[in-house]
Amino acid sequence: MISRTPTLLLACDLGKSGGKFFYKLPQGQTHALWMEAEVAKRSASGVAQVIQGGRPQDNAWFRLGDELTFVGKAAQAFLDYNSFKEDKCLKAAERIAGALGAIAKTENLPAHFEAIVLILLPINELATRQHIASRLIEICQGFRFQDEMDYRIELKLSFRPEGYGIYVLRKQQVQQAGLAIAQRTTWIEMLGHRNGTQLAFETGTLNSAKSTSKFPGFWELFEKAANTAGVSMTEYGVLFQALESRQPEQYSVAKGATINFSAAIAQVEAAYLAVLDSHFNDHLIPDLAAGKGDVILAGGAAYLMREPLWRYFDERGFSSRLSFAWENQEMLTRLVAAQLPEAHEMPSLSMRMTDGFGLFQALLGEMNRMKVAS
Amino acid sequence: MKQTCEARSERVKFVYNAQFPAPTAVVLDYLLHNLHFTSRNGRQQGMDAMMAFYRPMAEEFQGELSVSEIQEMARHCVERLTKQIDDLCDRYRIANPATKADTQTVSDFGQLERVLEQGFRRVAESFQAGVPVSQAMAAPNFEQGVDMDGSELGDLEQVLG
Repeated sequence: MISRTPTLLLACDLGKSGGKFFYKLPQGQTHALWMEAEVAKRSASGVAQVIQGGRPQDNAWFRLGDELTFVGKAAQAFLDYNSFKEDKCLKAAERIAGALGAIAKTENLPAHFEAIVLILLPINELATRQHIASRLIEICQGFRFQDEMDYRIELKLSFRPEGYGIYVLRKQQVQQAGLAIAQRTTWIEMLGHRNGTQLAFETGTLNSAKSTSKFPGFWELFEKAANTAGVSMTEYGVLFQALESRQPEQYSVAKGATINFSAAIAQVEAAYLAVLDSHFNDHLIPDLAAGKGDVILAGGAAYLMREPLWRYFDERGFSSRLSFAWENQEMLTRLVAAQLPEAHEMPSLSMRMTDGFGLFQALLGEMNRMKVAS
Repeated sequence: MKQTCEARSERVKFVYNAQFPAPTAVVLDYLLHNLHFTSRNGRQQGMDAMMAFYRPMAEEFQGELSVSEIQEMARHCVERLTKQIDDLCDRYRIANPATKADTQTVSDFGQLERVLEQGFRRVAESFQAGVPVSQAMAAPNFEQGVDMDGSELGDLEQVLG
């Protein structure tokens, strides 16, 4: 019997520090995949030799005509001092194609298959989706993975704003508790190092007018406050350590002495909360005070500042409506720990994969609904 | 300082023999036998690195260029060397001594991430120790997914499909 063309389900979260992917084949189970963010392109004649072997995701490269595209770890080897900076910029289509090739090789997929792909983009970059889609479709008309196997992939693409996956997981959680998410408003606050993003789901529907990615990230405030507190750049690492561990006394290698960072910690926390306060006062607190709803904080800065943030909401009487995206993540943590050896070196991996995991849950839900309907 | 034409031939040969485990041998081997670039490119890169520092001095020694020309060349070399410093700091995630604090933004994210990882390690350990089995058993089957009907996308639904 000739089997039908297999359909791959894939969710992509293309973060700046790495690509987070979840995929599944019919009758298969959910797999997690992590790939570094780098992309490098070289003409085939300029590359003397490529090392073969290893996990396909660590050696993801493909040929399009005379051009070789290296993705993730495979690209890092090309990005040495004489390479161009632009190689490091995010190239979404190439990164997804690299992941598709790696999955196809790992799973022994035939040369021709279908893929239903969901992709997260920052809400203010959703306009780039058509560009990404047309480039990805072009690549998937035929590329040669590791110069061995030609793949042609029929794609069905759709895009969601970053933070959507966190909302999906929230819906799952609320449903389990026997509640309907449509009765509440859910604010997702993603507090990143570079910028902050808010998604507001009012009575179960995204209000794009109240969703923004224009408030500042943690780094800018950290630098200013650290400078004001007289902490030099060589001591940033120790100050982070003090902030993260909540232990103000830290040994500074640069100074060869134990330093008390209490004042600097207070300045950093005050500066960051002041910026968030101005955002929250404009976009969150009035609605939070007026109606039913919950706030979910996500992102590296939320993790680093979890205690001051909790106090901030507690002082305003909202701590019972506050939660952190990395809580209640047993399933994802187990999945990531079981499948990705990288999690050993990068314990935050499961937290970083939350948004992508939620996105994949939505994709699975959609597939199951279609199965029931057909 | 100025050399006469008679004192130098038209060709200059530069041969260097290095023996492992000397660092010079490690570097030459990296440049000559690298899978990612040809040995011709490797030689050129080595020469570029050398030129970036020595060229102004060599030109001064040669004595054929004006002071302002050599200054211009030195400026160009400093740009090159600065780029090399940036690349090293970037690649090895170390503090960049050539960057002023107020303009440095990107290179120290690595530092922040490393500290965050240490924190997560502690959280992950306490988490693994503390999760009761019954809680894990009660978790929903994630292969079922979550039913989202698209209405949650609001006015983006039409756009995103």
